[in-house]
Amino acid sequence: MKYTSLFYLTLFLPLTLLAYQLCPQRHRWVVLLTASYFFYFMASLTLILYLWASTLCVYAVGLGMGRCDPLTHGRKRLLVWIGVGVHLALLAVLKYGPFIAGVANDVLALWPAAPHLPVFKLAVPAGLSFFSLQAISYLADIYQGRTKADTNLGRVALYMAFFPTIIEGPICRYEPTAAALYAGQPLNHHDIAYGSQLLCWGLFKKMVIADRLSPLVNNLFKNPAESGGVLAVLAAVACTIQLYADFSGCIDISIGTAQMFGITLPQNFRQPFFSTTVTEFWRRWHITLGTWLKDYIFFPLSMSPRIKALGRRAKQRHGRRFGQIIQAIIPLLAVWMANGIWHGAGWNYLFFGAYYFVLVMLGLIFEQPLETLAARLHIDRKAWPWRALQMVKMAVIVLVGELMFRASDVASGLAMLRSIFTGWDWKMLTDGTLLQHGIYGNDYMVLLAAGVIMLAVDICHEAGISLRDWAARLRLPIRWTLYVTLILLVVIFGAYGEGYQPVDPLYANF
Amino acid sequence: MRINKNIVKSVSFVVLTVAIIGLLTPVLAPTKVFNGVMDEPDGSLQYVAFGDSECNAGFSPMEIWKDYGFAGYNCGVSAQRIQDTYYLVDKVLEHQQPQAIFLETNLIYRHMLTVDEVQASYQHLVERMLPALRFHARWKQLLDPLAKSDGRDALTAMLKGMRFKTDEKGYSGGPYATPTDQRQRIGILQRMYLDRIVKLCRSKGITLILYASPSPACWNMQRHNGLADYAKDNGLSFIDMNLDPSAYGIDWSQDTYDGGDHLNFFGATKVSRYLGSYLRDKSGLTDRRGQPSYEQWERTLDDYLKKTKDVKAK
Repeated sequence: MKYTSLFYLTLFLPLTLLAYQLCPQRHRWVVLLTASYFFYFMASLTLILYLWASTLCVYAVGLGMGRCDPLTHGRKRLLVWIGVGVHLALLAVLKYGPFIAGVANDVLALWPAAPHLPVFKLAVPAGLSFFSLQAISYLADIYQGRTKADTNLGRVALYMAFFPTIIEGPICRYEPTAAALYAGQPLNHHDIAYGSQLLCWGLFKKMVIADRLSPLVNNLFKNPAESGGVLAVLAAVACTIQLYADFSGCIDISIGTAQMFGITLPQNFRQPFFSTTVTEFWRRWHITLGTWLKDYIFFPLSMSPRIKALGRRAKQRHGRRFGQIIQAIIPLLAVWMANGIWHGAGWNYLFFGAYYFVLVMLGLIFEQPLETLAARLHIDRKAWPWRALQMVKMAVIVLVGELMFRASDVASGLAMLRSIFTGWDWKMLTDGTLLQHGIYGNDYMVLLAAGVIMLAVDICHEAGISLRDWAARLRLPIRWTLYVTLILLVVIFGAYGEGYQPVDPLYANF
Repeated sequence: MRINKNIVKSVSFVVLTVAIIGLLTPVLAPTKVFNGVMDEPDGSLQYVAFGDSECNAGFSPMEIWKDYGFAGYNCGVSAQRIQDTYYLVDKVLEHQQPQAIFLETNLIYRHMLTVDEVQASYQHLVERMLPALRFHARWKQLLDPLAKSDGRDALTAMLKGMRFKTDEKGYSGGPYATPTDQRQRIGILQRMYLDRIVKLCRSKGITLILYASPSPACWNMQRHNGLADYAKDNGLSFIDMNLDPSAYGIDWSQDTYDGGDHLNFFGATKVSRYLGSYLRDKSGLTDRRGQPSYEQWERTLDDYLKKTKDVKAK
């Protein structure tokens, strides 16, 4: 079941809301859990068994850790590693199995007598990458004492399976989310209205922009060797906008849906294209993944005794700044490799992670010298021209990263990048080439108009203007006209139904 | 009181939105739909064929007109589900009173009962109530008049709905309808809509003929057995041309354009000739050639013969 389907929007969601409201408060979590399992079954069928197994594992290991004597730390550590290990093993076998086996076979091929490993491609349950991270964060939080092991299986199950988050996140933490899910607060008009607003806005981004761009992006990346410079740039821009509109659109649908039930989910995007540095970009793009990696990989590693000792030694020999950089290298490398490989099993994803690791390290190394240089040149780094320049720099960095990310392999991505400098032909903009890649003049017009609307909304949000509050304050006829217009834009200009290939949420595949 | 006011407001908003989407239907929904069959004069068709692409590519009504003088139409639609077919039959019968309906059976085993299919059925239901949802993409044609006249309408009218494919990509896999006692069950949804088509035809006194177009890629004996049971239980005729395709003249080296999935024009002419003879022998249809009200068919036949002459010469 897709969040954008008529089945979800006009049957499943309204019926779930109705059942939730009609049910006594203490049983509302049952409605949410039943709906979540139904939703997941419709998406993954019998692969729901993995979700159930993961839930039982998390619950049992959590209980085990909760019963550990605080003084017997070793047993608790063993249990957390079992729980985390089970989920990492699930990911390794189901998601990365073919990739790992392929790499192993490439290595084994160096020895003629070495055996050839069989490559199994197993069906991957929907949202595996997301619910695994939620499971690991719950166990790690219990281990670190940030939360207590929950004795209520229903609450744990709902945290793991809540239908708006199970496919694409946002990646939630147990402490604020599970209690809200279980509380069964009654529906209220404000939450329904605000949730619906956000849901419609998410549909607009996903169906009008991202899905309309899909044939263009697929076409441009299908034959990387044929793409000239103009097409390579178009491919990078189109896939970046598609990814943003798709993922942020689906997240808006998720957050909006949850809000209808009175549940606040964490934000996942905060106008990422207004970033001026790489680290800022990742604080604004896929925020919940970034904070997860920071809390469960970066901090534990950078605070480990060995890394700290390494930093201390470097500081003693080469100064404080160098010590800080050395102490950050290994945790950052782990974070960015994990970020890359989390997105998929392929060298291009590892390249993507390495690309951002190098950029972050360069930022760290040159931060101080650049500050000094800017001060000497009397450059006001907070002035808007400087910030605008930095945003353009970031746009280029992001476009290159997304091009490599979306390419089928590293070689194709590099070939497309190379073509920007070797095969530039301005004529392609006017000779009809752009109309031969899956979308036509009318599509470009819709994309341009919708893109301007999306940009305007992001500008307002960046300026601190809450458009939802503004819309809610409008007089009823004007407000309704605005809402109906948004819905009609989705209904008429959405890329769905006859003549369009259905497009799965892009991040559901990661 | 406050809650009631909010509920009234919410319901009013939903009703208003649905009404506005409903009002878009006359703007967005095309006047001519369903493969051009609605362009045929009311009550002029003696038989109509329905199905998916197996029917659409593998059945030529003009061959039957040429040989037997029976006026018919190919309403096959690529990848069509049986529930869509039911509504199409229902719609066509509002304008036509055929004596016979051919139903190509591949669609009965398409899109078996899956969660996707349940959702698709629901979507179809909503789209029937709000056609603007189905035809929303026609804003492009409304804005671009050139898109309306790309010549496809004229070709479809001349071929009476058939998809004209002349490519040849042979099938060399040998016999595929291997005898077995196993039977493939018809899915719940498929059976429900098949029953509805049967009932609809009975209520209008129309002879429903099930036929399986030759297709090694789509057919097997399990399916044959399953459908033969259904046909027997419901007193229907079932022509399975897969049991011995050579009996109908099918030459797998040249009568398919995609290696044995669909028939090409040459295969379609052979299937049509047989189904024409079947109509002549079993259905009591009368030859309409020479009748003033079918003059247009004679002109269409001239065009059809011109169109196919070069192909046949090759």
